[in-house]
Amino acid sequence: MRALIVEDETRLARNLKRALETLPTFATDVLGDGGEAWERLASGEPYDLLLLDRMLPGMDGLELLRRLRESGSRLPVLVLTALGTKEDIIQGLDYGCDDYLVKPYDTGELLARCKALLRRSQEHPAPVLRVADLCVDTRTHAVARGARSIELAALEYRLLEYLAFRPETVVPKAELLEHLYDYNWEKFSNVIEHYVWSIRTKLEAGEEPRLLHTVRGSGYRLAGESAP
Amino acid sequence: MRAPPRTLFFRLLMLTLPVECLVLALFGVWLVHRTERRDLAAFDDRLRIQTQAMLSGAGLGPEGGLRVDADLNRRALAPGGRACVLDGRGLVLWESPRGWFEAGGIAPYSHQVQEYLRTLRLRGADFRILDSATRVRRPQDGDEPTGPLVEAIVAQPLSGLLKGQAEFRERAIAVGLLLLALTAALLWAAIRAGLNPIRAMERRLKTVPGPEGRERLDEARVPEELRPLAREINGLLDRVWGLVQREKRFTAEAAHELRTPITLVKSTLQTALLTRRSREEGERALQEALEDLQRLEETAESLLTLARADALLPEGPRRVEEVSLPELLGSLAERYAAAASAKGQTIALDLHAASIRGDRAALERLFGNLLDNAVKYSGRRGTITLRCGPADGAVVAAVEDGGPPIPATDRPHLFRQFFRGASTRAADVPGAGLGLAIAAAVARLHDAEITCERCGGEGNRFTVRFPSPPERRAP
Repeated sequence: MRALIVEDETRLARNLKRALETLPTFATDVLGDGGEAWERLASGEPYDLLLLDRMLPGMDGLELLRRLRESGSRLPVLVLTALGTKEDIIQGLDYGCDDYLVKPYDTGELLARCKALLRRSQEHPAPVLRVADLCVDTRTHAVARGARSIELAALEYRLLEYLAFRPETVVPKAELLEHLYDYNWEKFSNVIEHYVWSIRTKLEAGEEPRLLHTVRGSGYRLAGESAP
Repeated sequence: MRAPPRTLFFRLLMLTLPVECLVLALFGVWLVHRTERRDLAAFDDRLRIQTQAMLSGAGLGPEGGLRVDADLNRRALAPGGRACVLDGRGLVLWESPRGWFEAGGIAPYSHQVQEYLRTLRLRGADFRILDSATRVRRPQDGDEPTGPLVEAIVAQPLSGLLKGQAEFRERAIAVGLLLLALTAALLWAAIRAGLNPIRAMERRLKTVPGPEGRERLDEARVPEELRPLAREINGLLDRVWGLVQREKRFTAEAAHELRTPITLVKSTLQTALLTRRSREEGERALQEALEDLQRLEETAESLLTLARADALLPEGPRRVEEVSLPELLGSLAERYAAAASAKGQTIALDLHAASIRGDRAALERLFGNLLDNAVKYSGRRGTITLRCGPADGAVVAAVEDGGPPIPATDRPHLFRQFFRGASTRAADVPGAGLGLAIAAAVARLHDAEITCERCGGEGNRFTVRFPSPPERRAP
């Protein structure tokens, strides 16, 4: 999943990025200017979560939010701001954000809210994702097949989680590339193949049936039985 | 002089009640007097009729049974006539000596008669004498009154009348007292009703909600006399609410200003705990947190300064004096010379004679803040220029710095409390965004206008334009 942090206080933005990246779920980008952030979002960059400050240079956070919602985007937005009066919060939510957190925030709470927002936006509110005998716990990031727990690297987990949110669906490789890496990453398409191979090896280490299928010319699919 | 703490109601009652008493008493006296005079006249009439009847021999008074006895007749009919005083019952109280009239005697209302009556009074009863003598010609034979002229002075004891009068007076006083009580009660009610608008105002004020509603007294619905009071109260409410609003805004902004460094400290430490990377990273986090705390401390200090500045700069400066701008700016330039030269900056002066009337300490803060900013934001080797002098009928003072130009989008917000430009925050220049707010407050105080514009390629010019002294004076 990809998250965008729009925060002009550079050190706070860095702290936010670091905190989010303690979760293997997120590849995170940071922007300090509201106008720039709007351009990035308007260009169709596929983000899965937006952390938005309100008082920003370039463009006010709420104005960005308004434009975003006007453009029909369903991107989950968490407004993170020091403007914390009741009226501010009501205004923020009325502008169409999904959650509103007042600074100074608690990092643990922020991360939990990010995870919750993500589950809701992926239309999968249960914290544990299940595909056949595969269990992906989005809280602890533990992966297990039946009773056997599986150790995955951060990017492997990110890929598997992305697919687990969309069981039975063919996910194109390009989409995976867009959602798993942050903006500055050099995108080589063969990394995906490498990770798929690696995950598959780990998932099938106990001679279990295949879960992660390759759909030739289309992409990948996480499902209990082979191609329909 | 300290007025006794009396209620308005009590005062009004105390003022109206004596007047009412006086009116009632006068009316009562007039009524009693009139009644008594009427009674007396009636009494006299009756007496006269009685006397005539008595002397003419009919001997019957209107109240019956009065008969003139023979003895009296004889004496009264004695030749030459004589005067006598009879009481209402026909008893002879006094009789003139025989031949009294012939002797040329005394007029019926002479001194002697009066004197005699006075002695009668002394016997324990007041007598009323008829105000004129009654002359009757006695009928001799038949009914023709042809007999000798008899003149009589008639008196009757007043005791009955006086008793009646005393009773009437008592009754009048009782009724008067009753009336007084009744009218006092009416007055009491009337005054209470009259004071109702005041109570209504009080109720209204009690329920006046907070500043959001901006509720006030409706001046149109207040009686004319209370209108100035209502207007004053409304003015007071407006001022108080203005202050409360300002206070609220200040608190909100201050809280926001404190929140930012707190957020930083918290997020830095929590992130460090969460990531648990190397020892150096942990130490760096601690270092950063410490720096943020430093910033927090500075902000708290600035807030205190501003709170104090606000307290120091109320509606008007307290000491207004003639302030020479070249002198003021010159001394400020000296004060900042060291700080400027430490950054390799030079302070240039272009000062022309100009003076304004104002609060010297406040003006020093104004230009001190501008100069402080200039030193802070001008790069190394920059030039800061102080100017003052008359211009276009006004007195103008300006501080020019060599710093990067302030973006046009920031300029409108420059003089707001806690405003700090993005570049300022990014460059980590210390400050809380209060200096220019204070400068603007001082300028406002002096009816001056403070503006900021770009000057030349590099730098900003802060201009303070004072109204010229002869036309308009600083408050």
